[in-house]
Amino acid sequence: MSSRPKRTLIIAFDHRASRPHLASYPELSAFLAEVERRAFKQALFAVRDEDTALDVVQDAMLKLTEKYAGKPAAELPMLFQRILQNAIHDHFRRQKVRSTWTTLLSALGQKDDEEDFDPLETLPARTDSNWAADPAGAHQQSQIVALIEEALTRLPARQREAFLLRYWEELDVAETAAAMGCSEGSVKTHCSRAVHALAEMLKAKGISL
Amino acid sequence: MNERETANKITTYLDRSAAELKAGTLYKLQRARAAALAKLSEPQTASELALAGSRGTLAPRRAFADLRIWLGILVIVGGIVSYQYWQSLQQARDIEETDAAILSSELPIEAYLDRGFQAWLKRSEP
Repeated sequence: MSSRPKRTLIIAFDHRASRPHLASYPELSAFLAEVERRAFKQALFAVRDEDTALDVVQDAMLKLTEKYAGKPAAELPMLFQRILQNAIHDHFRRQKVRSTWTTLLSALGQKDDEEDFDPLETLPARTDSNWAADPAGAHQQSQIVALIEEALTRLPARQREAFLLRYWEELDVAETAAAMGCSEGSVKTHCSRAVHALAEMLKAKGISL
Repeated sequence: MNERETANKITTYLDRSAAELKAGTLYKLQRARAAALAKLSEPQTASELALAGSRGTLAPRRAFADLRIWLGILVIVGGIVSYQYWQSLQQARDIEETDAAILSSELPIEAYLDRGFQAWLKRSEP
Protein backbone atom coordinates (compact mmCIF):
# COMPACT_ATOMS: atom_id res chain seq x y z
CA MET A 1 0.00 0.00 0.00
CA SER A 2 1.38 3.40 -0.92
CA SER A 3 2.21 5.66 1.99
CA ARG A 4 -0.04 8.69 2.20
CA PRO A 5 1.60 12.10 1.84
CA LYS A 6 -0.43 13.91 4.50
CA ARG A 7 2.38 14.36 7.02
CA THR A 8 5.11 15.23 4.54
CA LEU A 9 4.62 18.90 5.33
CA ILE A 10 5.20 18.42 9.03
CA ILE A 11 8.14 16.09 8.56
CA ALA A 12 9.74 18.71 6.31
CA PHE A 13 9.41 21.19 9.17
CA ASP A 14 11.28 18.85 11.49
CA HIS A 15 14.25 18.53 9.18
CA ARG A 16 14.64 22.21 8.48
CA ALA A 17 16.40 23.13 11.71
CA SER A 18 17.95 21.37 14.63
CA ARG A 19 16.27 23.59 17.22
CA PRO A 20 12.44 23.86 17.46
CA HIS A 21 11.16 25.66 14.38
CA LEU A 22 8.31 28.02 15.27
CA ALA A 23 5.30 28.03 13.00
CA SER A 24 5.04 30.99 10.66
CA TYR A 25 1.87 32.38 9.08
CA PRO A 26 2.26 30.46 5.78
CA GLU A 27 3.05 27.27 7.68
CA LEU A 28 0.00 27.65 9.89
CA SER A 29 -2.11 28.35 6.84
CA ALA A 30 -0.73 25.32 5.01
CA PHE A 31 -1.19 23.14 8.07
CA LEU A 32 -4.83 24.14 8.51
CA ALA A 33 -5.55 23.69 4.80
CA GLU A 34 -4.03 20.24 4.95
CA VAL A 35 -5.85 19.08 8.06
CA GLU A 36 -9.26 20.76 7.71
CA ARG A 37 -11.04 18.05 5.70
CA ARG A 38 -10.05 15.26 8.05
CA ALA A 39 -10.83 17.45 11.04
CA PHE A 40 -14.31 18.07 9.67
CA LYS A 41 -14.84 14.35 9.10
CA GLN A 42 -13.60 13.54 12.59
CA ALA A 43 -15.98 16.06 14.10
CA LEU A 44 -18.80 14.75 11.91
CA PHE A 45 -18.25 11.16 13.04
CA ALA A 46 -18.60 12.38 16.62
CA VAL A 47 -21.39 14.97 16.48
CA ARG A 48 -23.25 13.59 13.40
CA ASP A 49 -24.34 17.02 12.20
CA GLU A 50 -22.53 18.92 9.45
CA ASP A 51 -23.17 22.44 10.75
CA THR A 52 -22.13 21.49 14.27
CA ALA A 53 -19.03 19.75 12.91
CA LEU A 54 -18.12 22.91 10.98
CA ASP A 55 -18.56 25.00 14.14
CA VAL A 56 -16.36 22.61 16.10
CA VAL A 57 -13.62 22.74 13.46
CA GLN A 58 -13.80 26.54 13.29
CA ASP A 59 -13.52 26.77 17.08
CA ALA A 60 -10.50 24.49 17.03
CA MET A 61 -8.83 26.51 14.27
CA LEU A 62 -9.46 29.78 16.13
CA LYS A 63 -8.04 28.41 19.37
CA LEU A 64 -4.96 27.12 17.58
CA THR A 65 -4.18 30.46 15.93
CA GLU A 66 -5.10 32.52 19.00
CA LYS A 67 -3.24 30.56 21.65
CA TYR A 68 -0.68 28.29 20.06
CA ALA A 69 0.61 30.21 17.04
CA GLY A 70 4.00 30.62 18.68
CA LYS A 71 4.52 26.90 19.15
CA PRO A 72 7.00 24.85 17.11
CA ALA A 73 5.55 23.70 13.78
CA ALA A 74 6.21 20.07 14.64
CA GLU A 75 3.86 20.32 17.61
CA LEU A 76 0.93 21.67 15.58
CA PRO A 77 -0.65 18.30 14.63
CA MET A 78 -0.78 17.05 18.22
CA LEU A 79 -1.91 20.44 19.57
CA PHE A 80 -4.61 20.82 16.95
CA GLN A 81 -5.92 17.32 17.54
CA ARG A 82 -6.01 17.94 21.27
CA ILE A 83 -7.92 21.18 20.74
CA LEU A 84 -10.29 19.46 18.30
CA GLN A 85 -11.04 16.62 20.71
CA ASN A 86 -11.65 19.13 23.51
CA ALA A 87 -13.97 21.13 21.23
CA ILE A 88 -15.95 17.95 20.50
CA HIS A 89 -16.14 17.11 24.21
CA ASP A 90 -17.21 20.69 24.99
CA HIS A 91 -19.99 20.37 22.44
CA PHE A 92 -21.31 17.25 24.16
CA ARG A 93 -21.01 18.89 27.58
CA ARG A 94 -23.05 21.88 26.41
CA GLN A 95 -25.56 19.58 24.76
CA LYS A 96 -25.99 17.64 28.01
CA VAL A 97 -26.69 20.81 29.95
CA ARG A 98 -29.33 22.06 27.53
CA SER A 99 -32.91 21.75 28.71
CA THR A 100 -35.97 20.46 26.90
CA TRP A 101 -36.98 23.80 25.42
CA THR A 102 -33.59 24.11 23.72
CA THR A 103 -34.13 20.73 22.10
CA LEU A 104 -37.49 21.95 20.87
CA LEU A 105 -35.91 25.10 19.41
CA SER A 106 -33.19 23.12 17.68
CA ALA A 107 -35.86 20.91 16.13
CA LEU A 108 -37.54 24.03 14.76
CA GLY A 109 -34.14 25.23 13.58
CA GLN A 110 -33.68 22.07 11.54
CA LYS A 111 -36.86 22.88 9.64
CA ASP A 112 -35.36 26.26 8.78
CA ASP A 113 -32.26 24.52 7.53
CA GLU A 114 -34.37 22.43 5.20
CA GLU A 115 -35.92 25.60 3.82
CA ASP A 116 -32.44 27.04 3.22
CA PHE A 117 -31.37 23.88 1.41
CA ASP A 118 -29.18 24.70 -1.54
CA PRO A 119 -28.78 21.84 -4.04
CA LEU A 120 -25.53 23.39 -5.31
CA GLU A 121 -23.96 22.71 -1.94
CA THR A 122 -24.49 18.97 -2.37
CA LEU A 123 -22.30 18.83 -5.48
CA PRO A 124 -19.02 17.07 -4.83
CA ALA A 125 -15.92 19.21 -5.04
CA ARG A 126 -13.69 18.78 -8.06
CA THR A 127 -10.89 16.39 -7.42
CA ASP A 128 -7.96 15.08 -9.40
CA SER A 129 -8.39 11.53 -8.14
CA ASN A 130 -9.69 9.01 -10.66
CA TRP A 131 -10.95 6.43 -8.21
CA ALA A 132 -14.49 7.14 -9.32
CA ALA A 133 -13.78 6.68 -13.04
CA ASP A 134 -15.69 3.40 -13.25
CA PRO A 135 -19.37 4.06 -12.34
CA ALA A 136 -20.06 0.57 -10.98
CA GLY A 137 -16.81 0.57 -9.08
CA ALA A 138 -17.47 4.09 -7.86
CA HIS A 139 -20.87 3.04 -6.55
CA GLN A 140 -19.38 0.08 -4.74
CA GLN A 141 -16.62 2.25 -3.31
CA SER A 142 -19.07 4.86 -2.10
CA GLN A 143 -21.13 2.11 -0.45
CA ILE A 144 -18.05 0.81 1.34
CA VAL A 145 -17.14 4.34 2.42
CA ALA A 146 -20.66 4.87 3.75
CA LEU A 147 -20.52 1.59 5.69
CA ILE A 148 -17.09 2.42 7.11
CA GLU A 149 -18.30 5.86 8.18
CA GLU A 150 -21.42 4.39 9.75
CA ALA A 151 -19.31 1.81 11.57
CA LEU A 152 -17.05 4.60 12.83
CA THR A 153 -19.99 6.55 14.24
CA ARG A 154 -21.10 3.41 16.07
CA LEU A 155 -17.73 2.88 17.73
CA PRO A 156 -17.34 3.98 21.37
CA ALA A 157 -16.07 7.57 21.37
CA ARG A 158 -12.64 6.84 22.86
CA GLN A 159 -11.99 3.98 20.44
CA ARG A 160 -12.99 6.18 17.51
CA GLU A 161 -10.72 9.00 18.73
CA ALA A 162 -7.77 6.66 19.18
CA PHE A 163 -8.27 5.02 15.79
CA LEU A 164 -8.59 8.30 13.88
CA LEU A 165 -5.69 9.99 15.64
CA ARG A 166 -3.35 7.03 15.46
CA TYR A 167 -4.10 5.68 12.00
CA TRP A 168 -5.75 8.50 10.05
CA GLU A 169 -3.83 11.45 11.44
CA GLU A 170 -0.77 9.23 11.75
CA LEU A 171 0.21 10.51 15.18
CA ASP A 172 2.50 8.20 17.09
CA VAL A 173 1.33 6.49 20.27
CA ALA A 174 2.80 9.17 22.56
CA GLU A 175 1.25 12.02 20.56
CA THR A 176 -2.10 10.23 20.46
CA ALA A 177 -1.94 9.71 24.22
CA ALA A 178 -1.13 13.40 24.71
CA ALA A 179 -3.97 14.48 22.42
CA MET A 180 -6.44 12.18 24.17
CA GLY A 181 -5.17 12.86 27.68
CA CYS A 182 -4.64 9.19 28.52
CA SER A 183 -1.82 6.69 28.84
CA GLU A 184 -0.01 5.10 25.90
CA GLY A 185 -1.29 1.70 27.02
CA SER A 186 -4.86 2.95 26.78
CA VAL A 187 -4.20 4.22 23.26
CA LYS A 188 -2.94 0.80 22.16
CA THR A 189 -5.92 -0.94 23.75
CA HIS A 190 -8.43 1.50 22.20
CA CYS A 191 -6.79 1.20 18.77
CA SER A 192 -6.74 -2.58 18.84
CA ARG A 193 -10.36 -2.80 19.93
CA ALA A 194 -11.41 -0.20 17.36
CA VAL A 195 -9.76 -2.03 14.45
CA HIS A 196 -11.25 -5.36 15.49
CA ALA A 197 -14.70 -3.84 16.03
CA LEU A 198 -14.59 -2.09 12.63
CA ALA A 199 -13.46 -5.27 10.87
CA GLU A 200 -16.24 -7.23 12.56
CA MET A 201 -18.90 -4.64 11.71
CA LEU A 202 -17.80 -4.54 8.06
CA LYS A 203 -17.58 -8.33 7.89
CA ALA A 204 -21.16 -8.51 9.16
CA LYS A 205 -22.15 -6.31 6.20
CA GLY A 206 -20.36 -8.66 3.82
CA ILE A 207 -17.27 -6.50 3.29
CA SER A 208 -13.84 -8.00 3.58
CA LEU A 209 -11.03 -5.48 3.39
CA MET B 1 -4.24 -9.31 7.84
CA ASN B 2 -2.77 -7.57 10.85
CA GLU B 3 -4.14 -4.57 12.72
CA ARG B 4 -2.02 -2.01 10.89
CA GLU B 5 -2.97 -3.31 7.43
CA THR B 6 -6.67 -3.32 8.26
CA ALA B 7 -6.38 0.20 9.65
CA ASN B 8 -4.53 1.38 6.54
CA LYS B 9 -7.21 -0.02 4.24
CA ILE B 10 -9.94 1.69 6.24
CA THR B 11 -8.11 5.01 6.30
CA THR B 12 -7.58 4.81 2.53
CA TYR B 13 -11.35 4.78 2.14
CA LEU B 14 -11.60 7.64 4.63
CA ASP B 15 -9.08 9.63 2.56
CA ARG B 16 -11.26 9.16 -0.49
CA SER B 17 -14.29 10.26 1.45
CA ALA B 18 -12.48 13.38 2.69
CA ALA B 19 -11.36 14.16 -0.86
CA GLU B 20 -14.98 14.10 -2.02
CA LEU B 21 -16.41 16.63 0.40
CA LYS B 22 -19.22 18.78 -0.92
CA ALA B 23 -18.26 22.11 -2.47
CA GLY B 24 -20.39 23.98 0.07
CA THR B 25 -18.65 22.27 2.97
CA LEU B 26 -15.23 22.99 1.49
CA TYR B 27 -16.15 26.63 1.06
CA LYS B 28 -17.27 26.86 4.69
CA LEU B 29 -14.06 25.19 5.85
CA GLN B 30 -12.08 27.66 3.77
CA ARG B 31 -13.96 30.55 5.40
CA ALA B 32 -13.36 29.08 8.86
CA ARG B 33 -9.65 28.84 8.09
CA ALA B 34 -9.55 32.41 6.81
CA ALA B 35 -11.34 33.62 9.96
CA ALA B 36 -8.85 31.77 12.15
CA LEU B 37 -5.87 33.12 10.24
CA ALA B 38 -7.32 36.64 10.32
CA LYS B 39 -6.67 36.55 14.08
CA LEU B 40 -3.06 36.20 13.22
CA SER B 41 -2.01 38.92 10.84
CA GLU B 42 1.54 38.84 9.46
CA PRO B 43 3.12 41.61 11.59
CA GLN B 44 1.50 40.29 14.73
CA THR B 45 2.84 36.84 13.94
CA ALA B 46 6.35 38.13 13.57
CA SER B 47 6.26 40.00 16.87
CA GLU B 48 4.67 37.09 18.69
CA LEU B 49 7.17 34.66 17.28
CA ALA B 50 10.03 36.92 18.27
CA LEU B 51 8.74 37.00 21.82
CA ALA B 52 7.58 33.40 21.98
CA GLY B 53 8.73 31.73 25.16
CA SER B 54 9.40 35.03 26.90
CA ARG B 55 6.90 37.04 28.87
CA GLY B 56 6.76 39.66 26.15
CA THR B 57 3.23 38.99 24.92
CA LEU B 58 1.82 37.33 27.98
CA ALA B 59 2.94 39.78 30.67
CA PRO B 60 0.51 42.66 29.89
CA ARG B 61 -2.43 40.28 29.70
CA ARG B 62 -1.42 38.58 32.94
CA ALA B 63 -0.92 41.92 34.69
CA PHE B 64 -4.36 43.01 33.52
CA ALA B 65 -5.89 39.77 34.79
CA ASP B 66 -4.11 40.26 38.15
CA LEU B 67 -5.43 43.83 38.34
CA ARG B 68 -8.97 42.59 37.81
CA ILE B 69 -8.57 40.03 40.59
CA TRP B 70 -7.21 42.65 43.00
CA LEU B 71 -10.00 45.05 42.09
CA GLY B 72 -12.54 42.32 42.79
CA ILE B 73 -10.98 41.56 46.18
CA LEU B 74 -10.92 45.30 46.99
CA VAL B 75 -14.63 45.63 46.17
CA ILE B 76 -15.51 42.64 48.35
CA VAL B 77 -13.45 43.87 51.33
CA GLY B 78 -14.87 47.39 50.93
CA GLY B 79 -18.39 45.93 50.92
CA ILE B 80 -17.79 43.95 54.12
CA VAL B 81 -16.30 46.97 55.95
CA SER B 82 -19.19 49.22 54.85
CA TYR B 83 -21.76 46.66 55.99
CA GLN B 84 -20.16 46.31 59.42
CA TYR B 85 -19.98 50.10 59.83
CA TRP B 86 -23.65 50.42 58.86
CA GLN B 87 -24.55 47.63 61.31
CA SER B 88 -22.74 49.35 64.22
CA LEU B 89 -24.47 52.67 63.39
CA GLN B 90 -27.83 50.90 63.35
CA GLN B 91 -27.16 49.28 66.76
CA ALA B 92 -26.11 52.63 68.27
CA ARG B 93 -29.31 54.23 66.91
CA ASP B 94 -31.47 51.45 68.41
CA ILE B 95 -29.80 51.88 71.82
CA GLU B 96 -30.28 55.64 71.61
CA GLU B 97 -33.97 55.23 70.87
CA THR B 98 -34.43 52.78 73.77
CA ASP B 99 -32.57 55.10 76.16
CA ALA B 100 -34.60 58.09 75.00
CA ALA B 101 -37.85 56.17 75.45
CA ILE B 102 -36.91 55.08 78.97
CA LEU B 103 -35.71 58.52 80.02
CA SER B 104 -38.70 60.33 78.59
CA SER B 105 -41.15 57.86 80.15
CA GLU B 106 -43.16 58.91 83.23
CA LEU B 107 -42.29 55.63 84.90
CA PRO B 108 -39.23 55.59 87.13
CA ILE B 109 -36.37 53.41 85.86
CA GLU B 110 -36.62 51.24 89.00
CA ALA B 111 -40.07 50.12 87.83
CA TYR B 112 -38.46 48.14 85.01
CA LEU B 113 -36.41 46.21 87.57
CA ASP B 114 -39.51 45.21 89.53
CA ARG B 115 -40.52 41.62 88.68
CA GLY B 116 -44.12 42.24 89.62
CA PHE B 117 -44.31 45.15 87.18
CA GLN B 118 -42.81 42.99 84.39
CA ALA B 119 -45.32 40.23 85.15
CA TRP B 120 -48.16 42.78 85.01
CA LEU B 121 -46.81 44.09 81.65
CA LYS B 122 -46.80 40.58 80.21
CA ARG B 123 -50.33 39.89 81.42
CA SER B 124 -51.64 43.17 80.05
CA GLU B 125 -50.14 42.58 76.58
CA PRO B 126 -52.88 41.97 74.01
